[in-house]
Amino acid sequence: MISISLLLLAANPAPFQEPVATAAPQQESSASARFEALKAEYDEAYQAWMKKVQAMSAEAEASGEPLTEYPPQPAADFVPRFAEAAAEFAGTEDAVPFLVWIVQNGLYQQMPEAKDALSKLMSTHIASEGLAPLGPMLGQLDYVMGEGYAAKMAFKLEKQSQSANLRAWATFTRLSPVFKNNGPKTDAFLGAKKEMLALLEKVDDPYLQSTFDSEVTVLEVFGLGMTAPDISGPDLDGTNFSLTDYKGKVIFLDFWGDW
Amino acid sequence: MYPHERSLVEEMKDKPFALIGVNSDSVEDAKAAIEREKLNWRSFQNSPEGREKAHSEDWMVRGWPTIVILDADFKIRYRGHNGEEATKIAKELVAKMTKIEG
Repeated sequence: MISISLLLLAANPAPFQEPVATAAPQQESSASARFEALKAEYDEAYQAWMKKVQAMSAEAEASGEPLTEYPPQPAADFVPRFAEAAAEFAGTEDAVPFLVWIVQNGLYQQMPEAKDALSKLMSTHIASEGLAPLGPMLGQLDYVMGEGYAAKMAFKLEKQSQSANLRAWATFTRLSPVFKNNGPKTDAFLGAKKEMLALLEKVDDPYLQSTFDSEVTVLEVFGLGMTAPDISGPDLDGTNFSLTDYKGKVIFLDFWGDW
Repeated sequence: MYPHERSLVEEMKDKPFALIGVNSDSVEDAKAAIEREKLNWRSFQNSPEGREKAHSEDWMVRGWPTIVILDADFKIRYRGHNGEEATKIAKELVAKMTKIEG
């Protein structure tokens, strides 16, 4: 929870600009070749980093000393290089893969380049099919970009994106609060579910399907207004008790751990 | 989170309110935390010996901490990860109850 509140303090997004027409890609082959080469280089660095971490973990486990510090992830070194390429192709479709990569690899780490890349994508490249990989991130954008950002972007993408899958993610992002804020038996919830199911018939996106399934399944059992199941078992002293022992009171049920 | 929950329990102790935990640590670690932080609420063991599935699995908990607010009829009024929002909703429910009781 602390991390979420900190994330919410993140700077507000830059003001939105109207999308401008993107120039026809002139050097698509050279841009995409450059992207692939840079990405391959990064993937190699990432693999090396993973191996190092695994070796350190194994060593830590063998010695019984807990691992307190990981070597820095290679993404930070690569972000400026992707940003440089994106700047060279600025305003054209060729910039999109570079910008998307930066968002995917730097946004949750709160890198300023990633926030900048996202703003560029949303202002200049909103219609691009190349934005499709960002679909699963849409629902999380508020944590980094400020409250309301995801909804605003979803609204734009739903209307303007040329990617059917991304439009579907945008619809899901728009409907998520409807699922969360209404009980599973309400018309609002059922209507939103119907809309999503019809959409999922049309787009083939297994990840959206599974994200939708898991979110809605939880809410159909544990959504607002549903009767909670009982819990029975030992407390920390080994004495058995039941949650229903407290029925008649307001219960603040806290799934917690000492982290 | 600890100070928030601790003072909530203290503040609500004479009201129709209960903070109940489901703890994911070993009993030993949980007790150490309770001692260290002077925690004042009762908790289930999430995966007690002999139980096939953890309580959190039954409750489809997918992120920790998860807070669920139940009203006096055992109906769910909040589920999520925001302690402040959960507290606000719980307090409103308690206030409504105590008003009715006079």
